[in-house]
Amino acid sequence: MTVKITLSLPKKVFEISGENVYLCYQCGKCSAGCPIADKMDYLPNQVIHFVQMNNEKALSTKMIWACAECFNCTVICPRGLDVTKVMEALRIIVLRKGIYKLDLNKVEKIEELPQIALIAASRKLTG
Amino acid sequence: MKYLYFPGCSLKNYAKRYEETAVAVAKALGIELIELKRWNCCGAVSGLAEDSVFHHIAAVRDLVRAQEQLDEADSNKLVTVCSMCYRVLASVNNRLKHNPEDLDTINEFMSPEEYNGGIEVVHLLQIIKDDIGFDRIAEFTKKDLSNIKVAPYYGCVLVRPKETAIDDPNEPTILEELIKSTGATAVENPLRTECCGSYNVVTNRELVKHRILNLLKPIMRENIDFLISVCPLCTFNLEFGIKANKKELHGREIPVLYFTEFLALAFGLDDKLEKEVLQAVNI
Repeated sequence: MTVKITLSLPKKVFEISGENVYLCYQCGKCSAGCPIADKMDYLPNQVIHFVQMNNEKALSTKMIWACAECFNCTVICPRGLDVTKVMEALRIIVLRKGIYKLDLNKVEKIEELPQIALIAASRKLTG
Repeated sequence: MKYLYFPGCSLKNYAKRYEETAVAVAKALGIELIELKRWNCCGAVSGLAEDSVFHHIAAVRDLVRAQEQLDEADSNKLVTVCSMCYRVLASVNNRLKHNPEDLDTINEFMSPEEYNGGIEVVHLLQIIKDDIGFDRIAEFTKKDLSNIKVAPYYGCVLVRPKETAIDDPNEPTILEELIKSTGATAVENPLRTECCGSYNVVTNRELVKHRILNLLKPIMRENIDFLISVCPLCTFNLEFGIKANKKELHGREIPVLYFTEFLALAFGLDDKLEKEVLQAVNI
């Protein structure tokens, strides 16, 4: 199937992730299954909606940065949209501008943290 | 059986107990884990972007190292124990096998080294289930664990996404089967595949604290003796969360064991652990 996407944000997301956000019909199952949604500013389906509407607000939501790729949303999406990949694409749009979301010098009690967490966070929150 | 083995950073540092018991349990089951002579960090998480292979280089280097040592093993399986290492190596391997163009790009970058796609990445749990069999676990179990109640915790990475899942993404049973094969009771843990908060522990410890409390609430009424984990980061977050939520959990400090520690206990391989854990629950 050839996908024709013209709006800039959905197009960028498609180019980076191969995911077509218009598959989403806003059922909200991703948000129901998201383990951190209760502590976030916007729910995963709202972030997807921003992208559908070409609204760059998607790029400044807490949601995309706290998403730690548990893939629950991806597994339960009835439309087969890889929501996790869309979240990653949104992070990548920001990171590729050189804007990073982690400064290791400012992490408190960094010596208590395991390297697996530091490496994972560095790879996801910096470019 | 001899298998190539990739330890990863955590198993050499704060999760040393995971490696020690994994090697001991494997040995007891007749498996020799041959550690790769050279290896580097797998990257802990892999990149999901379709338009770049940049984040995969570290993992591919490890696959090349395994390729170089293949003749020392009885199979092309590369065994991982840390579940995050498993997912990174398995997902990168999958991607390169299914996308020859990506493999070419990476090989061009790494030239003269070249990955040929011939390695299969597996988790130790799969080796135990598929190559050894859970019935053998029962044979090797020396301790009577019939009074022990254990809650399995999978976390995300072993069961999601589907492409690299070692079991059903929503209703996995591999840990329950393992626990039952030792004679212990596996408590039903409805949130056993929910995320622990992962690397958010670096930027937002409150979020992880909240996550762990939510994960433990449904099993707090069960009188569980310990939790079983497969991931060094889940274990770190669980132990952190249990301490941080001391008040909310009414002072209950549930021990978190790696599945290999649990097997080492069952097989009677670890005296120190036995003193710390089994005596506390009167075995």
